[in-house]
Amino acid sequence: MLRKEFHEVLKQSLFYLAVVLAIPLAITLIYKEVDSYFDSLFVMLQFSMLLFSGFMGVSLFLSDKNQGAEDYMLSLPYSRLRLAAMKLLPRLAVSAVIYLFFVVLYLWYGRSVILDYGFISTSVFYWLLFFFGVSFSAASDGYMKTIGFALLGLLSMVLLVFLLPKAVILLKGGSPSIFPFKMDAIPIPHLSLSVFLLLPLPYFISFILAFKKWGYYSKANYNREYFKFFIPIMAVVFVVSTVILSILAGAENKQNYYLTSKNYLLKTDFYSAKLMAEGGEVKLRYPHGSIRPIYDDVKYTYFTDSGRDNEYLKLLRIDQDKFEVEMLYEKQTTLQPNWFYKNNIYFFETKIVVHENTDDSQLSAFVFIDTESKAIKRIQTRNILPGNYHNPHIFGANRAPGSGKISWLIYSEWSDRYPLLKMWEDGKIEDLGILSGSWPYYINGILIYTFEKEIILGKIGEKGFEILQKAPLEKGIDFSAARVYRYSRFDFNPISTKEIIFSKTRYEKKDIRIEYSRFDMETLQFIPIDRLTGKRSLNLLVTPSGAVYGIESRREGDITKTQDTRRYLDKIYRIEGEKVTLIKEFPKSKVMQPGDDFWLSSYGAVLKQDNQVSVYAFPDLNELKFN
Amino acid sequence: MIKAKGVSVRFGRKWVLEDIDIQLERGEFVVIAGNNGAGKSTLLRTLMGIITPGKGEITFESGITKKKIGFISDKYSLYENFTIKQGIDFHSRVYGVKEFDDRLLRHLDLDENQKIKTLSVGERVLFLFSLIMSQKPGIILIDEILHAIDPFLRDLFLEYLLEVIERYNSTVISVNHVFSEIETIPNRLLIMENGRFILNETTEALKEKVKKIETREEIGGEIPILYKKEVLDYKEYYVYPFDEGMRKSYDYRYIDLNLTEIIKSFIGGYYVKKRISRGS
Amino acid sequence: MCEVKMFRLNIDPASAVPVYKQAVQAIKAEILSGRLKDGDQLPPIRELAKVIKLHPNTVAKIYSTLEEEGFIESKLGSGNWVKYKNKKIDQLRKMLIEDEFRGFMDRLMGLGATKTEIKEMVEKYLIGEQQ
Repeated sequence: MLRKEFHEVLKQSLFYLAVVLAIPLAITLIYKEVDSYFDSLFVMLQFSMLLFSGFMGVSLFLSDKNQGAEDYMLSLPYSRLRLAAMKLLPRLAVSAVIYLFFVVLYLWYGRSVILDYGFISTSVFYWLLFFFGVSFSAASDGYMKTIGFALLGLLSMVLLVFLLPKAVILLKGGSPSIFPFKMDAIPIPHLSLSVFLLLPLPYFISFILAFKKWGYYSKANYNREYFKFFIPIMAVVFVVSTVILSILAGAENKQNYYLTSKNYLLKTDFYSAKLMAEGGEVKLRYPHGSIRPIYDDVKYTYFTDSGRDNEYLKLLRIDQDKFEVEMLYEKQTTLQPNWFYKNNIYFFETKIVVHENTDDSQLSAFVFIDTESKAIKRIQTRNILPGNYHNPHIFGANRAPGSGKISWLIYSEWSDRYPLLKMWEDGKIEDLGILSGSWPYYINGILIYTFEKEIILGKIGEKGFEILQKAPLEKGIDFSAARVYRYSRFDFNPISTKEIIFSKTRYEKKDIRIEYSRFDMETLQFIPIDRLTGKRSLNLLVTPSGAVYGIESRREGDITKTQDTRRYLDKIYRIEGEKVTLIKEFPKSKVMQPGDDFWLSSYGAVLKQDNQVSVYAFPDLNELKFN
Repeated sequence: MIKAKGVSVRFGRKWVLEDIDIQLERGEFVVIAGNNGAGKSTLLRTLMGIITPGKGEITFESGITKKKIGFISDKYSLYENFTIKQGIDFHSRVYGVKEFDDRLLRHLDLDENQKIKTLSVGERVLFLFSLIMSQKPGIILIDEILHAIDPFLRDLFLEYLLEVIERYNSTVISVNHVFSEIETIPNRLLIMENGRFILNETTEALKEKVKKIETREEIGGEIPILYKKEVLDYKEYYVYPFDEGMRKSYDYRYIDLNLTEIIKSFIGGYYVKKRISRGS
Repeated sequence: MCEVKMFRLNIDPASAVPVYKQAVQAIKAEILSGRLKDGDQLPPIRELAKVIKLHPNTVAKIYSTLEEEGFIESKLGSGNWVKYKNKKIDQLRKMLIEDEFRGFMDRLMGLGATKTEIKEMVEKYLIGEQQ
């Protein structure tokens, strides 16, 4: 029997090879280009080999049927399993040979031809079509019907490929997209894609088990047996694959923490977010990960949700008393950072404009939402940023004396400069004609920017910008140390402070020395803060109540590998004018491991090290227990 | 020995064989008869292993493997694209036949290089039988072939069948419609109706149990009637089961029947039942 | 030189008498008639089965019955041979004649002949024969 099968299969393959080798030859002779022989051979092979493997798969029993010998075949003194094996083996062997031919040709000559769907996809589909052909080879009489069944089977498997990530997301408490043929991305290492190779197995195994009982007269019997095996086996495989993928996804699932104004802990990962009270009780679940808390007021935690692939934008808030999530705004667009302005949230909507070499975000609208009434007002900006100005950000608000009209101060980017602009409530944009060398500030009603080697302070009045004073920009001064001011509230009265803190980096031979100075807004003098000077750089945090904290932290590990880096919080100081007080020195981790990290909010700090999460709340940084 | 216990076969939703229980000893020659669609061919195919029963099991005596079972059917073909020689080689290899007995084939005067698809039905049947002969079969299953071949070939077939039976003490199970030539050969008759056996008796016993009465009278329920037929102005009653006591009690002329007539009376009874159940 | 004798048997497939018994009777008749003589070789089971269309087991049973009743002898390896004692033949003749007679009477009565009619006919016939 084996001999007969080999003969038949060999005949079919030789015929196939002859066609594959001959047609490109004919084409070459017609077009008289010798080079094109291998090109057209390769294309011919890539197209036709899928048909060949599918045909090899489905044709296990069809030649017996066409010769009227199905009864005879089933009456032979072989077990059904042996029969199937004797039919499978020659076809498997021949398919492997053709595949090898393809591999050799690809390696030797595999440059991009007209249809280059890639080595991996061709290989995967080649063997998938073979095994699905085999799995359905007994399902029907006749080539067309059997091929139809096999394709349907393949389609069902494709559906399951889409459903698997959705199942993982559900298992992790997230909410996947409902549309069945949309792939929901989950963070898994590339090797874990091999888990998907488990999915074709139930089709093949069910074929083996059902064929043991197959009778010639009743395809209904065979198909019924097939399903009786297939459904439980596939259920098991699907569940096992989901579990394996969940575990693999767990390794890559980064968690983030945020302490809210009412000292609840918001824990987010790729899939979902949980709000926990002290003691560990989960008060709220939100079935999407990748959310960003942006601001808290006394009652609400405001956050954005832009989907796993930035496919949408939502602005939401958590009611910290009722433990409810409320949506304030939803749109298909990208968001700029938000600012609060009394009861309103302000943000820009931007459009991504695709240029030749870069993508650019251009202003498209300015939106404000009243947080009490939830009313939305939208101003379409007349998109008149001069060409080449891109990535606009708001950094301040101003009320014009006299008319009382509100305008917002915007900086954008151009080359290595930051052009400054002003936008009115009606959407009209004015170029202030200032090119700042660094990020500008608007503090105490005064605009501060740098130009060449000077710090320039001025007022924005009805007639435009008025320079008040200039001060020399000392070499080495990092003007952006105080950028944390950017993320706090802007009131109608802009940030009022007597001073801004800057850092100065000095290089002494191989050593780095960092000095912190207060820039006095009245005397325009830099006054060093000796206590903070040292080798460590500090980040500054300003809370809504106006307290200023210095954060001393460090990063370990290879910076270029993001999975590897670990961040540790060492000390937090309170800075009040000249006075610098160490509030907390945090316990060192015993064993450094990947995933060690810390998170700061205006309300406290969350540390993760030694597989433990510890939470500390401002102002005294007392530990809160959330386990 | 071949034994079937509780064998049931389902096609789709319909059970075409239900609860088949038989045990046949070595050397028995069994005829299976029944109306069209009773499940006879299905039973044969199930015994052969072509169809797998949904319930029940089939066992053979030790020593009988699948290699020792032969199956012939008029619808049965080997690989049509094979030549006769290739067919012989294939079958011999698979069944472990060392020497092919070609006596029967020589009667047919065929060219060993002609393809099987060029053979007539009769030639195919005899070719198949000569393959089976070479297997030295312990069990032979015959599915309605006799009416498909001409009388000369039928005779030839029968001769060689009897020789095989004598040589190997084979058990024969034959599904038949035509019985004239083999009237005296079977030792057991099985009749099937709707997938079940309604009769399983030796032919010897049946000859004593089935009789025909020809009379003008109406016969009531005192005598068990299998089937009634009106012929001109008198009636034929087929009685089963007959016992000798009836001769004394009911004074009729009881006529002996041959196998064909016995079978017809059972099948006739089936069609009567069918008519009655349809209410016509 | 002894040759294998073949013979035809009339078997009535409808008769309630089992086939093998009918065959045994028929062979006995052949012996009685002299067509089968003492020392003749009977056909092998296989050949007889083919000719008279009987199951080989039936033929085997026929031969073993005949052997039991003392009409044939089976020699291992060489087949079956007619072998009987004359006394047996006489007994057989008597039995067969009686069987035939009974059958004959049944058939006549089946046709409606009365006992008187039969007696008359027999006497007439026998007288005729003598003349």
